[in-house]
Amino acid sequence: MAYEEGQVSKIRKSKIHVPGIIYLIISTQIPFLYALWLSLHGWHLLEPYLGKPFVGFHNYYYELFKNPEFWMSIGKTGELVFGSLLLSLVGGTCLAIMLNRPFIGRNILRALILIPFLVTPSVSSIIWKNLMFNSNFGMVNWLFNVLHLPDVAWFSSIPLVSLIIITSWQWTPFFVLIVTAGLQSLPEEVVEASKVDGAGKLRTYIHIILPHLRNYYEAAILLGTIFVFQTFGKIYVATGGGPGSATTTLPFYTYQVAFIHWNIGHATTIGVFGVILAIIVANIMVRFLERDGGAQK
Amino acid sequence: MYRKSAIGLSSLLLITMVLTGCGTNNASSGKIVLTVGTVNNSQMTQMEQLTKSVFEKEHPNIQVNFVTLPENQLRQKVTQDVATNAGKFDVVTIGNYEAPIWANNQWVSNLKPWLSKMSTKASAAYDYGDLIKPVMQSLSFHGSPYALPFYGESSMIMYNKKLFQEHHLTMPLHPTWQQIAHFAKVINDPSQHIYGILLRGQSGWGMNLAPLDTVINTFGGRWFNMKWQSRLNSTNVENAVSFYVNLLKKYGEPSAAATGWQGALSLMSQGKGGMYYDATSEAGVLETPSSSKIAGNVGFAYAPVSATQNGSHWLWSWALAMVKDSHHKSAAFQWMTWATSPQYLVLAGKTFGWQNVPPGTRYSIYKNPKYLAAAPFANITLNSISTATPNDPTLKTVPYTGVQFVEIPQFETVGQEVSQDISAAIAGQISVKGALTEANSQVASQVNATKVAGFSRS
Amino acid sequence: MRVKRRLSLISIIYTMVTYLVGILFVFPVLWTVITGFKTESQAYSSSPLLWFEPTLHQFILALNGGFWGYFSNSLVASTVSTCLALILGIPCAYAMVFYMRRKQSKNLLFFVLSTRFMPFAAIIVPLYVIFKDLNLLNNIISLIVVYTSMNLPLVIWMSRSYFMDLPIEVLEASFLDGCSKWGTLLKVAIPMSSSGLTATALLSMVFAWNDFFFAVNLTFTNSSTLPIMVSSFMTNEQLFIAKVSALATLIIIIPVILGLYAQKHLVRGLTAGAIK
Repeated sequence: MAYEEGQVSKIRKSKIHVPGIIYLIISTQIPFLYALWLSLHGWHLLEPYLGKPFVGFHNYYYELFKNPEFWMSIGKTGELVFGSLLLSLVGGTCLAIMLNRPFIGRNILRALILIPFLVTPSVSSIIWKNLMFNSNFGMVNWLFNVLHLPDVAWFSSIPLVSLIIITSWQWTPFFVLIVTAGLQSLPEEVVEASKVDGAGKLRTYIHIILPHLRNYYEAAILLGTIFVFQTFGKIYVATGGGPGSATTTLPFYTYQVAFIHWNIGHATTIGVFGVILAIIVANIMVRFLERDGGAQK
Repeated sequence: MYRKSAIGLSSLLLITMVLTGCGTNNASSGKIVLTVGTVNNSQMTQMEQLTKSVFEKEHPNIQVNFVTLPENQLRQKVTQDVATNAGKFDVVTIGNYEAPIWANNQWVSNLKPWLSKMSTKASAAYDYGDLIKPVMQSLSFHGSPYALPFYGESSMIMYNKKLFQEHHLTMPLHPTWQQIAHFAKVINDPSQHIYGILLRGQSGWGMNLAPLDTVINTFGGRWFNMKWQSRLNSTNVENAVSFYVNLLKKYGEPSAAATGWQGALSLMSQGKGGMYYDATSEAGVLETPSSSKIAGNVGFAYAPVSATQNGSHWLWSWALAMVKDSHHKSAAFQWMTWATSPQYLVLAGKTFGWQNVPPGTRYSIYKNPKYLAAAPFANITLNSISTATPNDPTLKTVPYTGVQFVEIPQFETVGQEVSQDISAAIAGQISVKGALTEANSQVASQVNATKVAGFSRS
Repeated sequence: MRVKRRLSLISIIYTMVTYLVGILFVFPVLWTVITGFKTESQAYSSSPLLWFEPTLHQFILALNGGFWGYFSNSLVASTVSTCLALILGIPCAYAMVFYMRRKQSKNLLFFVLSTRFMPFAAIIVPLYVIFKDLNLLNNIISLIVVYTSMNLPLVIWMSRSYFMDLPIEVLEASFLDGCSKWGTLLKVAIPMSSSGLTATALLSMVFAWNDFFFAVNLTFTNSSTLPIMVSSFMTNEQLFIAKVSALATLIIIIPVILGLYAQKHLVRGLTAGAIK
């Protein structure tokens, strides 16, 4: 069905992509170059009398070797992305399997389950913080009380875990969508084999179905990584990066240094590191895609 | 089919383009449009309404547009704006921490010439001398005022009288922190969702550091010695912080490390707290029946003390300042003096109820019998503001001014970092000692005598 | 007979469990909608209050609290930026699929994706200063510009995958009929992948609608969008749960409707080249 790019070879040359690409270059690369320039300068907004002296790579040196918070924020980002995607993957798979057999109202339920993915992230943070995880008025702690479980001070004692829960709540539906697509694309023989086999459900899943879903999982994880990496509104609204710096991820830390510490030089430097990290991830992503493309041909 | 959708799409685009155009062009003929940045607390929201309904009627040539944001967002927007000379604002709401620094950066205008230019009649009506002196002093730089106070506050204890009666406790007018700890222990009953004391735990120099700094002060701790060496790892500071953190951990609200004054205030107003140590300006909210379940049952006492009175209660003011780059300074000044006038306080009292009048700016309101009757906290507020000691914030002498902050430009950064360390300690992620060691080295690396030379007390 | 009945019993239980899990999963949203109809003091109850007299008070409060201003900002920013992203992005994807060598196409895709990977925080300060110099701060145009470049990679990525599904014969036939490349794009390629492109448009609208970061940093009240309104509502006064719930309900209606409408085509578009 599908075919490779560049197959219509009648007119090899075309410039219709130029406006879009130019737009992208102007709107992302100019600010980025400006950020590079700023990262080589010292600029503290609250001390304008110091000016914007050129400091060379001092800011880079500072972040890499003198600033443990920078490294911590990278660690937190990793934990957030990994934790959220893992939870979404497991939860999404379970839900997708449950929804993969015919029953009355299945489409309605499928639609319902998609909703968390569409809810404005900062709003979902507000919902979870005030209506679910609030120690006094929240539904989750009420449920814990009913079940005689100890109260949990969610955003205070396990802030990153709470954040991961909210994030994976949002991304689980995305995994449901993709895993469902994968399940529906399973060849008939595989489905039959798994029924006849008599093997345990879980084993069937791991040995027969999972290999077929690999591509789907990869795509979901890679896309999820882009978006979860950028998480900001949720943190801003729910924890403000705290307590301590427990939920200060790289994007949030950049924001904090820029607009709370007012240290523009440092903030842009951290931003540049973020871009480098992003390019590495993007590289890996495209490798994956190329490999799959190659396997198909 | 596709043609239809293409037409639909392009017309949608057109419509939205037109809408955008309309949204951005609101050049009204001949009118001076002021843009004012305010904090979205109830008093400022009321001021916005009164500006529309009264001020703009009296001054038909002036239109005042408000940008109303939560405290932290407002601070961010306004600082961004003035520091980059974006020039979006004519008048900004700033605190007494910002006033001297912004004056020094020449971001806001000196108001002295403006005040002396007022006509005799206007000057008499405005009555500059009626503005509470310590507040005015904290808004001045090199002897000149740079902002006019919209409200002023100190800190005090607010307590739930009913809970105190139930446990047969009596709150002294001048409690000590040790007494407070005892009361908190007696009242605390988490199984019933009743907490002994509510305190800010959320990070932010305007959040947990504000009450904590007063505790540090009264325990005899200080941020810097006279050589501007960081002293956050001293025993006095450690005792104070341990006290605060333990009080909060043992008898405080749950999720304390994520609770700011908003969360604490709503718990208090829902009758879930025995005591609440926070801003005097919140008393009005607790005494308003529509928002508070404990209205009429709130007791007030002075800020608790320990080793010294100095710095045991803070001094804060939200004040209106004129942006240096404003093109409408005369109109801006007219509006500022209207919003901070004695007449405004009376107007607000009559319109919205006396207990919610912006407190802590003028002596005259504390002589108004109607206000005194509606605000049982009036005297404590005035006395606390008058006795706050920003120039002498703790037991030992220090090179800086400020009770719950240190009046240096670097404080926003180091204060934020220290407050994060504290909230981590409250959350139990690190020990108090660990937090303070960390905090001390962060402060030491960013503040030294040469950097803050302009802000040392002579 | 017997086996069948037992099976159906199991399947009924299984269905019930599925329903239970599904509803628990969306419970936070349902609960928000319900809470929006409560009074503040009802919303602040320690146990779930299910029977109460619904009130529209909170919705009225939210709607009168400047809702429509924020709403029109959100609407304008998300629709205009989506339209621009489609206009700019579809030709890109088209060229990538039909006019480029594989290597070139991959390189371009890599560049396009890497701009989406770029942490927004990295460029916010420069953007702020640039928009300030252009006098576009606190102007909806700045949001439109940013959202367009934020959604452009998404549009290119998704429409590329739809174009790759097109049967090549039809396109070649169109060329043989003498259609130009624009003609082929407008008359053949776009109509044939219209449902997928609609999904693309809806999804990019949802992303723009839901953005918090740029809106909070580049705008003040008069050009702010709904997500900012709700965050400032929360710190506004002291009792806010019911009011915020009502506002949250109003805000999420649009992305939820758009997203559900686009649901069917999302998977194919998003997973793009990764799945064949």
